This record gives sequence, structure tokens and C-alpha cells, in this order.
Amino acid sequence: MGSDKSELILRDGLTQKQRGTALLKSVCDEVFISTCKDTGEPNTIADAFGPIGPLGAIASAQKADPDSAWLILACDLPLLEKDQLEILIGSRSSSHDATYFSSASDGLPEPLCAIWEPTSIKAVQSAIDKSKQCPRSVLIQLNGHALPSPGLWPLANTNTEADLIEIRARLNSSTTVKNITVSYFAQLRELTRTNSESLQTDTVTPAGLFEEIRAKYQLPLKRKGMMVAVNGDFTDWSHPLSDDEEVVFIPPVAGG
Amino acid sequence: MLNSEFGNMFQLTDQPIDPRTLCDAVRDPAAGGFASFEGWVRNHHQGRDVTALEYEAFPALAEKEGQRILSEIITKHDIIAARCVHRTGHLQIGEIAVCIAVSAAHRDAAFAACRAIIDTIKLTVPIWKKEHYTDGSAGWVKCHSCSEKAPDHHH
Repeated sequence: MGSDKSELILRDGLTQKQRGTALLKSVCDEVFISTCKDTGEPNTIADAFGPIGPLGAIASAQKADPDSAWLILACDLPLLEKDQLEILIGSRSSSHDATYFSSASDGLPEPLCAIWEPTSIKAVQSAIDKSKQCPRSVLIQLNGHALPSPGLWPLANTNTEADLIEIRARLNSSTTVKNITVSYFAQLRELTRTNSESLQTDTVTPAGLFEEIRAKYQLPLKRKGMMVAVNGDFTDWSHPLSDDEEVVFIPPVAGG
Repeated sequence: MLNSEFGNMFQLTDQPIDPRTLCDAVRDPAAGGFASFEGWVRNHHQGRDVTALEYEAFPALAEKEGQRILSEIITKHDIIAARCVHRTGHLQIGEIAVCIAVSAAHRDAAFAACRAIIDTIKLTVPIWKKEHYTDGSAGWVKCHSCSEKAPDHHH
């Protein structure tokens, strides 16, 4: 969103970074914060592999201490509770390379609320050497211990304005149940095996509704590159949904 | 198909397109230039042999968005009239999938507007294309350049 997500204050008067740190401190011996550049501050780990995103941060932590297992946590999971971290730790299997939750949307590993064991180092390094920077792809290749999804919201992140609206509504408990009609076209019609359905949702934006529908049908499509229409007109993913609205999700178009 | 109600500059049809009808619809005594574009169903895509195509539209919004695009281009370019018809349903190789006709006083505006119409339509009009291949498989075409350009905040 063009701003530092870790500095957002969404709960308890704490920045996301402070809240994440506090959550981790309640379940881990030591907590470190990943930073792009070396800040010289205690308990920080600067990226040792350049600005390549979360996989570089994971590799940097493993480089700093290759013998420990690392519980990696993204800084932007405002709805995550201590309970989920306790489940993750309680279910940890050190005979696997990693322990992670399955994603509610597609069943794939959630890499940024996961325990990465020392035996994962080789695969992490090898991915970085090949300029592959997707931590999820690394987890898929590993011998991982997959836990059932904790549901759609505990691992929801604040990537877009619409995500933030959806999360804020949940934090304020300002969600209400609405009846929405969703129509499907093209690949979405085929994947859902339906032209149209009426459903009840407590999501507040088409973005949240799409995540619910992705989870319901395990759709292999992401919001990025898609458009959305409400009541027959294009609108933003952050449009405030009202009762009885008609929503159409528009996969990448290919006319002409 | 394309008769008197040509107030709609953009239309969808499940019938074969006759380009002459579009040409006639933009005919005007003040027009000195006419440009048209036809998109045809070709027998290959990214190295695969294509046997047929299927177009599916979200009709209400496709027509609204198509109309909006044509209105915008008419105001931007110095043209007299423009029409566009897009097919839906099952199409064979060689059939016309989309046809655009533009008339203008001078050729530059006609060419430019015709080009702008097809380029913009491919980006945002909710129409999807499914390709059927010689091996019996089929798939929805992902237009990567389009998805990259899909606006996060539309209009």
C-alpha cells in the first residue's frame, strides 16, 4: 500500500510490529525482528541476501542461528491470536522440515506463520541461489507437517486497502450478515459449477467476499489482475457491501 | 442483427457478424475516411493448434463498458461515428470475433480511433475466450498483458 505495514496501529494501541513481537514473546525464548538494513539495534536481523522479501529474511535468520528452529511470523496479521501460535508450537514436528498451517483459500502452506526447522536451510538456500523468492514454493517442496487451516481470518494480512477495511471491521465487531447474490462467468462459472448463487456473508467488501468464495470452492484464482462489479457496474475491491447487492467477480478478460 | 437500433455503438451478438452492416452504420456525407478492424479466429495460439473458440460475456456490463469506451474515444478523436460488435458463443476458425468500424473526415483520426477502440476493449470489457485444441483439451485464455493492466480502482 506504499506505507510500512509494520507501523500500522490496529489493535491495543500497538503497531503491528509491537503486537507481533509481544505475541511471539509469549511463546518463544527469543524474538528477532527482520530489517532491510542493519539498524544496529538489538534483536534485529538485517537482510543478508538483499531486498528479496520474506524468503531472504528467513534465510538471514537461519544464517544467524542455523541450529535453532525459527518460528517465522509476518508483521501484518492483525487477527492472529496467541491460540494459533500455541497450536502451531504444540503440533510442531521436528522430524519434519517445517510445521505450518494450510491456507483456508487453497490448502497450500502458509509460510509466514510457520516453524522452519534447521533441516529446511538447504532448500531455502537453493531457492535463493536460483533467484526463486517464494517461501510458499519452498515449503511445498519440503517434507512439511501441515496443520488444518485456522480459518480464513486469523492469517488474513493487510496487503491492500480492502484487506485493511475487512480486518478493521472484524476488529471493531462491526460486521453484519448480508444477503448477496454472486454471479459467475467463464472459468469462475466452471470452477464453481454454478451461474449464480445467493449467499449470506458477514464480509464488508467484495475483497473479503472473494476470499470467502475462494475458500468455499478452493479456487486457484487470486484477486490480483481481476476486477469486480457490484449491481452491474465496475467498482473497487473496497466497496462497502450492502444487503441484497449483486456481485460479479471478473477474471482477466480476453475479448477481441 | 444490426438494424435500426444502432444507437448502441457497442453490441454483443451470437450470430455471424456482417462487416458491411457496420460500414453502412457509420456512413456519413461528411466522412472522407473509413477504417475498420476485424478480429478473426485463428488456428493457433502460443504454439498450440486451436480448433474452435468460445466467447462468453457478462452481457449487461460488457455492453455498458463497450458503449463507454466508444463514447470516450469519439470525444477524444475527431471522428464522425464508430461501431463495434463482438461475438459470443462458439466460433469456428476464420469467423469474425470482433468488428470495428470508424468514419472520420480524415484518415488519421479514423485509423487512430479504430486502433484505440480494439486496444481498450481488450483491456476492460468483460468478455472471456475459451480455446479448444486439437488434442481435445480446452482452456480459458489468460491475457497476461491485460491482467497486468487491469485497474485496481476502475474509473
